[in-house]
Amino acid sequence: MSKHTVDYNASQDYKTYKLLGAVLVALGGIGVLGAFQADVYRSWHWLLIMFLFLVSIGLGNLFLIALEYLVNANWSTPIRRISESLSGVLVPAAGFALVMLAFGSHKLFHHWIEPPDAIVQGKVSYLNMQFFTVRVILCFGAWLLFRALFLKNSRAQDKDGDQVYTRNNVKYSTVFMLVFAISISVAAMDWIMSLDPHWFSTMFGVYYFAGTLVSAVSVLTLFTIHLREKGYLPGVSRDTYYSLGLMMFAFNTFWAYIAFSQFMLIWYANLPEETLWFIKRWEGGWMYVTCALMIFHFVLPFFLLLSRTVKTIPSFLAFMARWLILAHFLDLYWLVMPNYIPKEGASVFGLVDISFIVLAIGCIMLWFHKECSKANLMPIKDPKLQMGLEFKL
Amino acid sequence: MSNRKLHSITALFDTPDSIMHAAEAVRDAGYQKFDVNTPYPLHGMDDAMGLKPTLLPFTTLFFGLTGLAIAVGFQWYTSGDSIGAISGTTLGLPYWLERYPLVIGGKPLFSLPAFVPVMFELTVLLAALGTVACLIAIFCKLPANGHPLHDSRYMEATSCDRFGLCIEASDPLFDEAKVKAFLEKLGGKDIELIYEAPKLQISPVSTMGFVTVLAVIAIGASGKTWFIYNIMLYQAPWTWMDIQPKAKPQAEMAYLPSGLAMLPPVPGTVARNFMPYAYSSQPEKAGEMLSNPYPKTSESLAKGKTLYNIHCSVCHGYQASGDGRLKGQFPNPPSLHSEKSKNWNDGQFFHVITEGQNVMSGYAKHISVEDRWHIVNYIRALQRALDAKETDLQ
Repeated sequence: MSKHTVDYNASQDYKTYKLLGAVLVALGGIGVLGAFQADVYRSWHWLLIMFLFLVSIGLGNLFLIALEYLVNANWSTPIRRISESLSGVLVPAAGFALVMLAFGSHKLFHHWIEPPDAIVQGKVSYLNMQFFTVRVILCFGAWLLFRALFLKNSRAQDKDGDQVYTRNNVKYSTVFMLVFAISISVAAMDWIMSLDPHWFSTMFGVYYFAGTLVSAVSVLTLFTIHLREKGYLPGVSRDTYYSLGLMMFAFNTFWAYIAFSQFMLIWYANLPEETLWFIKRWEGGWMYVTCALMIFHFVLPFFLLLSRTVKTIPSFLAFMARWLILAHFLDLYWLVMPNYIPKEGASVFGLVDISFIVLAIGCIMLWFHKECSKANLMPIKDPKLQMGLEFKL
Repeated sequence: MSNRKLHSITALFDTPDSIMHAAEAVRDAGYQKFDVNTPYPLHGMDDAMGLKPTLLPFTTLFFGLTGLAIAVGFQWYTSGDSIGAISGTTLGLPYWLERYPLVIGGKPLFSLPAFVPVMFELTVLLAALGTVACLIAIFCKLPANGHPLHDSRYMEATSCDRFGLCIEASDPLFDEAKVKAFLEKLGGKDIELIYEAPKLQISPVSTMGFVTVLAVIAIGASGKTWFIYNIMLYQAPWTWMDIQPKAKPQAEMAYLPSGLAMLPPVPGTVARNFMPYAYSSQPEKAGEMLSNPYPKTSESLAKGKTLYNIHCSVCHGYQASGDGRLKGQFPNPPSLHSEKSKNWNDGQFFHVITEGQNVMSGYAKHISVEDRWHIVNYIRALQRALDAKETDLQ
């Protein structure tokens, strides 16, 4: 068995990410400011979409870290640092959450902040600004706390290679999984479902979770492939690419399964208070967005990622990862935007809308670079690293 | 022994690492027809042997899509509108081609969301069954279920604790002495020559005779069962009360005048608890002729109130002033507190509830005769309540 030499230090050069990230943030920021000048309500909704995307990436990668510890996976150990760095995106996401709480809440959640109607009146004990703020702070507090714990142990292990750090992280992951399951459902209900407070779906948390995983694995794949092709991750093999492609494929199918389950139950029961949410997304131009979501988030990626061979082709896998990232944006757009523009013809993307996507991608790059420079790019003394590098299908 | 054809030369190795290196060496030496037998799957062996991807996934895809197509087609056909209704003719379709246009839950006949679970299940089912069937029938070359390597010391060892490699004689580079030396050089032990069986091994299970015997047994067993349960058990005098001289509903019965077992009611029959309404389209006459048989007791008013709130208040409003909850969506009903309404007889109210008026439809099917009178009593009470007289205060 061949031994891979692992020789890293923290000062490796990722200037590309820093420069490109800064340019994207600057461009996106200007675009966003312009968008706020043009249409305040639409811009707040787009900011919410961007925020949810950042949460998807950060929280999804935090979930992948915990999952690796919990199931004792070793194939993903060499690329765990990328997940750890990507989970840093939760920090700007928390910033955007505070901005929205402070300035945008009346633009986004006016349905239940302003004097509520009879139906919302019954939900007021949950849907009120004080409790909402508490929940947001608790969720972000828990996520950032567990992120700090995972990263502290993981980085400390780089110095002496003590196995205690791994065991501690396994314990934290056990608790985190419970916290994660509750907090992501709460976040999905608070930030998306409460935009339309008359409607409810008990599956909604799982739906957002499924989309989160698709986009998190896609971003992880994209960064892994890019760094590997630049030569930063020696020893990461095609078999790891295949596993990442498999996760993309599996979670994308899971997303479709959950999305359809949610739709079919509501469609079958045909209760007015539940169907109105889907009817809104089937009227006028939204019908095309819904069809596009079905085709571009499930049908085409399903068949494109089906073959075993294509999952080991880096360029194709990177292409599919970009595709699924944009598909997740489309998913969030479909979830959030009809609450602002339910009328025909308003579902078209504008140029200013792209600036929010640009800003999100810039944020991810900047924070990825920032976190990456703090530690080695691989957990060099992790006991599972050697097995991960020798991983074969 | 020597007159039989050589099938392959085998060698045994002791560790996974050594077999992996041996496989790489054999691959690099240019051999193509060789195989590795290990007691458990070795990760990375596909690469070491230089195996090409198998075609099996395509059979899975094919069968999966077939299942999908069958599910869509079958559900579309069976739940569609009948052929006769579409073409406007009476095509004499055999009964097993008849369609079942059943409206379920108010959904359209072709409801894709309801079909998706079946599509999913059939896709998975056919993909799985098809893959296994193809694996066994095509890739394992079914009629022959034996292999020269079976019953050899080599197979005994590799299915227990050792790792084996065999190079087949059909390989273009094969040369008995060279291969033997090559395997020895790689560190292979217990080198064994495997010979073909005198002829292709065909299991007795797949011979024509055996299949015929199976078919005869199957037909015989099912025929016997059919005979017992349909003929033998019903030989007289054992009829098991199955044959009875009785008319079954919705069946033909030739000796009745109508030819139907279920006799249609005699014209003019009145169902029990159902009195035809005598003053249809004659509101004035109803007002003259009908009188309210129920006094305005508190029970009658309470019942009338409940029924009024259920059936009438939607349009007329709880106070009967024409401000119901559907106000604005339909032409508003007039207030029941007008002079015209107050001057109506009870019978006229009864008539309107029974047959409707203008936009209002008749409620004869929903509200019984007795309940209609209770509602009339309650309307009277409402009229009185909004126009109380001084004597009411005493």
